[in-house]
Amino acid sequence: MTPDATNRRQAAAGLADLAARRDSLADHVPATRLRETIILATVVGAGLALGALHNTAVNVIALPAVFYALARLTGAGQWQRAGIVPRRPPGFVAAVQGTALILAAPAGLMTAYVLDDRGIGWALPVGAVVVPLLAVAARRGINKLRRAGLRR
Amino acid sequence: MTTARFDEVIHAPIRLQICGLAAATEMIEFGVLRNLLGITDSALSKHLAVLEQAGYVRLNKAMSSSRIRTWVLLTHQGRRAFEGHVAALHAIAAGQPVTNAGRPGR
Repeated sequence: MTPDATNRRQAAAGLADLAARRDSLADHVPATRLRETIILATVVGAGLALGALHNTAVNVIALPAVFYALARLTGAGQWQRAGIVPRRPPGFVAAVQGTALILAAPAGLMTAYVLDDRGIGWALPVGAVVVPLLAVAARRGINKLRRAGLRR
Repeated sequence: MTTARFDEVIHAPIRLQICGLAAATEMIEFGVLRNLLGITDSALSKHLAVLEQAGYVRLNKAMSSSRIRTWVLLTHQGRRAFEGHVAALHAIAAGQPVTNAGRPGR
C-alpha cells in the first residue's frame, strides 16, 4: 500500500512528537543532593588530612570512611531518584569507565601519601582537595554521558 | 538493519510515546512517565496493560523510601516491535509503500 498525503503527514507528526518527548526526557537529571555531595567531599578531605597524622588507630577509621565516601561520590546510582534509569553504555565502554573510576581515586590517594612520606608536605592537603574534586567531576561526566544517551 | 513493520498495538499515539520513552531508558518510573505524557494514572495504566498483554513491556514494583514505585521496562520483543514500527513510520513519511500497514490502533 502506498501511503497517501494524510498518512505521510500523520507519520511525520508522530515521529516529531516522539523526538520532542525524548528531548524532554533528557531534562531529567539525577536528584543529586548538593548537601550529600558536600558532606561526602568533606569526609574525603578530612580523612586524608587525618591520614597525615600517620596514626594507625586514626587511619583504621579514617581511610575506610574515605573510600566509602569516594565510592558514593563516584557512583551513578542516583538516577533511580530521578525516576529514570538511562540505558547502560556498551560493555566495553562501561568496563573502561568503571576501571578508570576504581583505579583513579585510590591511585590519587596513594600518590599523595607517597609524596607526603618523602617530605613533600603540601601533597596531602592538595590531594585532599583534588581527589574529591576529580571524583565529583567524574560522576558529573558519567551522568552527562548517560543523559546524552537518553536523546538517542 | 531494522525491518519496517507497522504495529497496531504501538500505533496509538500514547502507546507510541510510552514505547519511545521506555526505549530510551533502561527503565522509567510510572509517575515520571505519567508526568511526561500529561495523562492520568488510569489512562496510563490502561495503555500499559495493553502493552503488557502484548508482551512489549514489563512492570516491576520496587520498594523505595517506604513507598512502592512501579518501574516500566521495555522487553526485548517490545524494543524490536518499536524499532520496526518507527522504521515503518519513516517509510510512510518518505512516501514508500509499507506492505503490512494496518488500521490505526485501538
